[in-house]
Amino acid sequence: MRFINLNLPKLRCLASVMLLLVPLSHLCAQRTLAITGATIETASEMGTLKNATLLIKDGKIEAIGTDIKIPLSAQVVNAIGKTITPGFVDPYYVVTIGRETQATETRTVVFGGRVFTIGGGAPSIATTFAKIADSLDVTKVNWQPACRSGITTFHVVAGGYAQSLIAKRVHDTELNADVQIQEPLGKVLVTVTNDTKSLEVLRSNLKPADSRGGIRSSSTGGSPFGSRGFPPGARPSGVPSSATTASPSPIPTSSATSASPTATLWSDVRDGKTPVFVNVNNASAILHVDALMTEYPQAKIALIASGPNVFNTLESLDENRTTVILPPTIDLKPNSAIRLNVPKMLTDKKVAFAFSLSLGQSDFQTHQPTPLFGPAMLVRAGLDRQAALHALTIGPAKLLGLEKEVGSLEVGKQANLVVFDEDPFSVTAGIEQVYISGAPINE
Amino acid sequence: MNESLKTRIQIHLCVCETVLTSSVAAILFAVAVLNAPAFGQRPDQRPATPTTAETKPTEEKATKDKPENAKPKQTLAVVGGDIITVTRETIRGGTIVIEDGKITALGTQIEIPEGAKQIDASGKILCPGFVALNVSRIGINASSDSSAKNADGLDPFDDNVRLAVSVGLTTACQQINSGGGERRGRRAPGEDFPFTERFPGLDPDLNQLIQAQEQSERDFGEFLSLCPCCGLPILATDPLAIPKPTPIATSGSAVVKMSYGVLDGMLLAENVFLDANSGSLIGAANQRNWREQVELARKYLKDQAEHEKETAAGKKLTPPRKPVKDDVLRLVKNEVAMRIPANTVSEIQSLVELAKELDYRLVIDGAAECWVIGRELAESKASVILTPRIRRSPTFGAEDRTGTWIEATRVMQEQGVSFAVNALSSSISLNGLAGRDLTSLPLEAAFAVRGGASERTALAAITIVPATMMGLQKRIGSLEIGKDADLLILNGQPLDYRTYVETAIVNGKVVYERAEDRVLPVYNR
Amino acid sequence: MLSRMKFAPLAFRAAIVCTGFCCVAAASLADESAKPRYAIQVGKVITSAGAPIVNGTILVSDGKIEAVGKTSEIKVPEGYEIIEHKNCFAMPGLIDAHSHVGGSGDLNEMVYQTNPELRNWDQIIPHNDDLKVAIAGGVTTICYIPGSGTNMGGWGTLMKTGPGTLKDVIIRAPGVLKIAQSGNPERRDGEVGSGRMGMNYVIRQQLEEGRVYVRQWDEFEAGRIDVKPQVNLRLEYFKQLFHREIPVVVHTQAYQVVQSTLRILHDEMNLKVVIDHGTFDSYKLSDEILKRNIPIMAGPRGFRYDPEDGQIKGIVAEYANRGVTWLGVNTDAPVIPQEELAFQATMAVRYGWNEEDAVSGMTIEAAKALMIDDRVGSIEPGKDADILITTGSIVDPRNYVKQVFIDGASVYDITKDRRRF
Repeated sequence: MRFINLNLPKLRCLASVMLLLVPLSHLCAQRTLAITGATIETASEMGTLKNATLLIKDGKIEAIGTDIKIPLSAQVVNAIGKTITPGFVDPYYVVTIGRETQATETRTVVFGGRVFTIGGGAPSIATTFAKIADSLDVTKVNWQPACRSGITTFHVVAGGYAQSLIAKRVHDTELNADVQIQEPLGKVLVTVTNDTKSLEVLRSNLKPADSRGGIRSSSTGGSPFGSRGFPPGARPSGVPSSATTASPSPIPTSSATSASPTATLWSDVRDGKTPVFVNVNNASAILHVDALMTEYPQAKIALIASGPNVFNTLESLDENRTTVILPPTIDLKPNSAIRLNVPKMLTDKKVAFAFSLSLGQSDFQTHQPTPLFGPAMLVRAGLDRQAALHALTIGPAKLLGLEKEVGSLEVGKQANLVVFDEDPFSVTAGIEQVYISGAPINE
Repeated sequence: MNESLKTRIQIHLCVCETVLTSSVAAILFAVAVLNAPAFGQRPDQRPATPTTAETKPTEEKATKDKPENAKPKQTLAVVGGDIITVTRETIRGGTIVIEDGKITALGTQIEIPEGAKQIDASGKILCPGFVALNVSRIGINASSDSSAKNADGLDPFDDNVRLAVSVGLTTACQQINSGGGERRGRRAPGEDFPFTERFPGLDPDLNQLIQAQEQSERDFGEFLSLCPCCGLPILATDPLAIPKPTPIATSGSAVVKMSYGVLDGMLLAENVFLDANSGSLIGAANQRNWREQVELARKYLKDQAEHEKETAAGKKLTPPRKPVKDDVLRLVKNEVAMRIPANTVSEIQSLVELAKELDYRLVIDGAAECWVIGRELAESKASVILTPRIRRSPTFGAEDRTGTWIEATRVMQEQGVSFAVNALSSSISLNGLAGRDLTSLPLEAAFAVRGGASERTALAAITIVPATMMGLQKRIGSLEIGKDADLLILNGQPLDYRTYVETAIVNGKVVYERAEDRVLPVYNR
Repeated sequence: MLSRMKFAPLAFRAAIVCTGFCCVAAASLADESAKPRYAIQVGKVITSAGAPIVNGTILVSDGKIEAVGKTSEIKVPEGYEIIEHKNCFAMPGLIDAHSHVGGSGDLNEMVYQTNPELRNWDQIIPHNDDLKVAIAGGVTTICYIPGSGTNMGGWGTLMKTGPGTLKDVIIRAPGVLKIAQSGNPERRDGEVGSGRMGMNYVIRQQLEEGRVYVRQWDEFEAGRIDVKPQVNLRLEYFKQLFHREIPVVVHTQAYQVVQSTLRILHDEMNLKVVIDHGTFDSYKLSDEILKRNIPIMAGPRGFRYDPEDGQIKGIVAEYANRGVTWLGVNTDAPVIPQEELAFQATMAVRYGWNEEDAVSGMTIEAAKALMIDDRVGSIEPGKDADILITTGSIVDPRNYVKQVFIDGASVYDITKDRRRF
């Protein structure tokens, strides 16, 4: 990583000295930071601001614009030639919680003198409920690739039927942590394919409890504390407590009011208060989900799907309720080598979409010298650049209900910024600096 | 695969507004112009959204349409083609009107409803979509889960669906839980033992082989292995052990429309046959067992009717216990036919006799030697499923009464036995061997013509006859008012080897267009 | 395509069953029909040598075609029986350039990597069960060759499918050399030949040995050397091969493999080459093939599913589109049943080949490729009277063969025989 060129050499010295002496958070709390001269992609109604100034105080954005007066006491960072974007919000950051099954291995048998290959089945989908917060040790997740990519807010998910959590990037030298849990009780997640078992999770849970004739005992149904889920408060000792203590959010005591804590989750989905995150394994699953959701016109869907699967079902996507989450890549038309710009098609169809920088990217775990290479290629191939920016920032923030805190650069929001050395949608753009709540990450 | 007319119009509009940027756009434009007459009557469907104007033709075919679901009444008129109805006379230069997936009008003096989307088929041949009876899992998930529902397993984006419909196959009857019979002593008679329980994800070929092995086990009374060299059974012990009755082990079937990209209406029917295992009715012990089952089924139906009457009268009684499986009941109620593989004259004769005696519909699958006993078959209720190209060698010295014969189709037609035609294979293969997989179904019917059947009979053998065998003759298999709008627009006679499907319509929706989808070669002959 | 050993036991059993009675039946038939003279009058004669003749007559005598022309112009000499098929076509018998069903199926001896010491005409079972049905499908000549289990399977035979003794049915032996370039003969135990580099070396090395042997004899026979070379049975048939009297029939498929066939067998060894599969994406080599004027007898695969655009592409049509005209199809029987040779053409035409080209591809083009066009492949005076009477174009599977003449003898006649196909 390159250093930001500070305008005044003296100030740089001063800053360095101070960095050694005081924890950063204190520094931020005390002095206003002014970043000047940059092109700012606000991801808000302000759009792109050229040669603009950003004032940060107490970890929040105090002012933003081209005509901002810089307080005399402010620490000034000259960012001429740089472009600043909001910190990225990854709407589908997959972690392993230890219940996924692998694809079955193939084996060959000889029968009647003929050789046959059997097995090779797809990995089975977990249909029992699990809270990720109950089984995830954040300290054991390798967040480095995500951090290098400028992701500052994570919707942490797992395959199968589960409840997500929201995590945020921190810069805490004392705890030596990159990421902390911000909200342990997130959205309801399901993974479906075209089979009864996985579809039944959606179907049975969406049904209002009264029409279901009480709580069923089915493992695919409402019982959240199957063999693998833990009721609140019964956390096994193996799960570190830091996961939740880091967050001030209270754990709702749903068990007191409802026989099934998931009932509230699902009634919120039914009423459209929160989207259900549906990961579809193939294109037909999109149609199956669409068919079974027609009964619940209020419900909102975050559909996690590959580009080709979205391409196949483009016409059946309901723009009023669906947000598509997909990896930012140029896709191939199914059964051919013809290239597709699926996000552009979604833009044309006015279907909302969000990019998950981590989703299904084989090179994500290695290194991302140019983390926005994918979106940049899509922009080159005709995707609107504002649409691409929104899909990385404010779009997923809105989907997760975090739009008041993160996702755009507006006054009052958290000062999570990514500084690029050039236009972020140039395929060669690299990240120079990331600010978390106004504190620079890279020294 | 789409209802592309709208797309075309949209593309046409945007092409007019923007610059022609790519060759694909040019092709689409040409197609749009070809269909120009349709512009006069704007289709009655969703009003054009503002997206239309913004849609730009891109190299990725950005505007490629996909079928919609749950939209207001959709009317489609296919105009000007020669309509081969199969069940009635061929209509020259006729019109077919389709509303909400059904044929609502058909003939020459047809008024096209206002707002109907039109497809010009002048100079083309229209015929009903083809129906295949032996399909192994196309467009449907192969779930080993016993509680799985067929409807949930449908996959309208299975590439094989696209390939199937590209040759005109619109309905496929598929085996779902391939029944492997049972091992004696472990299960009660009449109970299923789905093979998939033992080997999930089993290759269907292996399944067949194991079935054959189990059959020989039944025949010979002991577990046998097959010689890896010649495939003949190796006797383990005394071949004279008394065989125990083989259950009529059956498997479920699902009838699936090849509606590429459209889930709605894809599953047409389930369990349309009592699929009996080959050899399960051969031999005295088996036949006795089967007679018993049919009797039990009849008695149960009677008891049940009585029970219902008494319950209606207010009495509270325990309902009668179901002594047989549901498909036996359906057979006895004449809701389904029994489909059973049989090839030799003696096998066929004994099955025909049983069916006559116990009074149910019989479909003989394979029926290699049917031509020897055409008259007997004609006198019974039986029909047969043939694959004209399959060759079964005659017994030496009895060539005139054993083995297959290419002229079997002629004999069946002359005797008045209805026959369906199966393709050589139940699946689609892209290994390069041309004309041997499921997609060669119409070509297989051409071989029925080679054998001496008329074109009409041969076409019926892949349309109305298999539909009737499945009891779905009111839905599919011919072009008639009230039936499902599964129809093909062809560029030649249906059984001509050069003929291509230009457009395939399933449940009233265009799901394949040759010029646009480019599955098969596109060229001018 | 014939995979090693797989069908050997079956065919072997068939062979045991057939040998006895076949020869007896064949002999009597041949006697009966010796030197018949007749005139075949049909609605249309497809000659494979110029335009079809509407209302044509073919004069046959002594097993050869004496004359062919319009019925109105041909005077039928006295003593000629008239065989009339007014609404039918007459055409030359079909030729399959790649078949393994001419006799016993044990066609892969895999002790050595190259086997020029092997020849298959001792395996022939004339008019066996497969060939009887083949005749009903219109096939009168096959190139019966060893399998592709090794890089050089041995010497194949060009033979008729009709009844008779070996002498009657063999057109030429050695008919062809069979080389399998790649895609089956790989040695799986890791010695040289487990990959394409090794296999190509083995082929080149064996051919070079043969070429040296042939040169020695040539020198001796030209009187340039005095010492008579020793006769080596292993290498003896290389004489015909290097004298370009017989072709090498090459199991070769896919772009890179066909390329090595062109470079090694044609350019380096100067052999008459017949590409006998030429499938997958080999059609992309059409320019190179055209430069060398090499025939393609494509099959048994008839199409390629192109991953680039997801389209099915007809193999033969792709060659034809690129200007190649010396084209035919094969069955690789029993991969495709021998009687379905015409159906291979059906599919090729369905996928874009021209129907007339398909007919000549199965007759005269195949005959030229196999270098037997002096005997078979067209209806022309002087050629063998191998004639099919069909109900229409043989490319249309709805049509069928009514009568077949081989060397002037009626070997199949549905008015007398039960229809076989």
